[in-house]
Amino acid sequence: MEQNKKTKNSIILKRFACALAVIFAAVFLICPLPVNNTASAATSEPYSKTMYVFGTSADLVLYGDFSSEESQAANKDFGNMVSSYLYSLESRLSTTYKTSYVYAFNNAAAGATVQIDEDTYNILALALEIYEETGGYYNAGVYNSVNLFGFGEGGSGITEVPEDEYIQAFLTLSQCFGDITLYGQDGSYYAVKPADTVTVGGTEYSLSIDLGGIAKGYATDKVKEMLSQYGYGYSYFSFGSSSMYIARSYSSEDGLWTLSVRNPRSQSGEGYATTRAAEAAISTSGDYENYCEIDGVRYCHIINPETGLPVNVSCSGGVYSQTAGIISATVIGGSAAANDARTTAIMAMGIEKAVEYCSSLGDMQFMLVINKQNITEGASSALSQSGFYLHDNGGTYAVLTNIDGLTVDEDFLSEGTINYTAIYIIIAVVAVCIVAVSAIIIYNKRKNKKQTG
Amino acid sequence: MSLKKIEQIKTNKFFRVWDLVIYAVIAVVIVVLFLSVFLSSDSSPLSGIEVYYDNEIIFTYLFESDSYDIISESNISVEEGEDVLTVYFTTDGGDGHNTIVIDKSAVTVTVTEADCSNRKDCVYTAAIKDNGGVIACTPHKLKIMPMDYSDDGQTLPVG
Repeated sequence: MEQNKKTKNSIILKRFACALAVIFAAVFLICPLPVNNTASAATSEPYSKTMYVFGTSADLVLYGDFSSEESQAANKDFGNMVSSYLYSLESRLSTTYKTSYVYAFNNAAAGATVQIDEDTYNILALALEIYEETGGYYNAGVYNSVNLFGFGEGGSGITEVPEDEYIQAFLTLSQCFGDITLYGQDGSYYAVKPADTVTVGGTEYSLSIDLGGIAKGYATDKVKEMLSQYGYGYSYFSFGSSSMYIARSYSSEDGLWTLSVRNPRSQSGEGYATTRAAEAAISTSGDYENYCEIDGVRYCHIINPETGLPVNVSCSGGVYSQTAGIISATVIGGSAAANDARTTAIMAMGIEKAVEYCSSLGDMQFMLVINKQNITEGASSALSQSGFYLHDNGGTYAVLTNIDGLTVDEDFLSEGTINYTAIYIIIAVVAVCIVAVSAIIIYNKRKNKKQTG
Repeated sequence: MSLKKIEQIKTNKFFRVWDLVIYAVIAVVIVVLFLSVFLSSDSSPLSGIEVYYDNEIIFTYLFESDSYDIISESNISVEEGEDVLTVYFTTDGGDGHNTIVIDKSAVTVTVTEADCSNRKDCVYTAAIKDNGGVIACTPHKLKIMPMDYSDDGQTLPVG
């Protein structure tokens, strides 16, 4: 008996050893095969330059055959040219630089005429145009409210909700943004500040504007022109990934970029959707870019010009609560400057108006991420009857888009739902284990009974 | 096993058909798993990292020689450990701080603390494990990159 047992074990061990030898031999034979992990087909390193401007990082990346010293020098000169332009624009549009035209406008008396330059004139003119186009939902005159909620330059929010009298006062003041008058005369440009003022807390305030958002888009459009003028057909320029221009991809066969759109609730920056595009401006606004949370309510840097509060926040009887709404809006196509303003406006519009507005965007592509918690019947109906593609798994978030075949992360859409599939699988596995163990126990008992019997 | 079975095993061939089939399946599964991990990411090992502040290089570290170079002493200080090198970054003016942890055994780099903003993107960004990862702290103008950084030239983050 003992001899047989030894023989049995010896045979089994030999077989196992042979099998392991075969497996490892196969693995080690395949390992040394040359595998090219590098997707890039560039013949030399891309040129990249990072600039810290407009409160964020701006990346300029150029692709091509840059093996010659001439091309490398040309790239460097181009990068310096872009950098100089961006820093110059920032110095003229910043709300805090004393040399800035916007600073001068904000600190001028109500009703004053302020001299500005051509870029500031162009950006203000566009801001006023989008203000009209969006029914006031894009409003660069909410800067007092932005500061009130702690999101002025360098700010990251507040720890206590401001007093209502300030919220209402600055809301009233922002309504006069559309009354700004612009004109040019003898080669110079001027902006006339509205005469409206409000007094709150013993201090008189006049209109203050912040063109930071739309200015990044304007700068992106200018960089696009430069890239085209200097022949950089394989390149991209990105302002912190929220305002970008992408030319063509040097590495992909069809020249299209694969765009991974940021999940607004992922702290590690993962994407919730992917799409492909080239030679397009892309703008994104989201409530994750700068925010604070008080008593479970998220207050972000985008102000709703209808309420004076951050978007997706409502107040009833002094109690603040989160409302259903758009938490991220991305537009692809058209001009970066206009889209920067449009995505901001879409965030403020709420679901129903945003759906209606998106119908007017024409050829431009859009993606909206919607927080459906506490969603109203009207909003829900607007989503389902919009005529656009609605990605909705019954979870907390849904994605509305006009992009055919957009790949959306199912896990993101399923957030907040009970994973019944996982529960069923676990139950099935447990049941199989119980049955298997029971069968083995019964078999052994019968075997023993037979042997003793 | 019964006596009869053992006698059968002794007389039979060393490997039966089903033995070979099962072992072949196991081998294929292992190879496929190995290749899928091997091919799915830039598995170029991380040789070292460079830390940039406002586009100027201020610190470098090489894993192979476990050596570092502090280029800007006003912005960088280091605490050496056996398995971990902790790099403390401070902005000019001293009002911004980040803690960078270099894990020598795991060959990874992460930012574990920062006072940049409420979001702290740099802290939540995945650890740098290969030549495709970058950690950036925009408010502090800080960027941590592999020495042999390469992007695929066709994928971009948006938003």
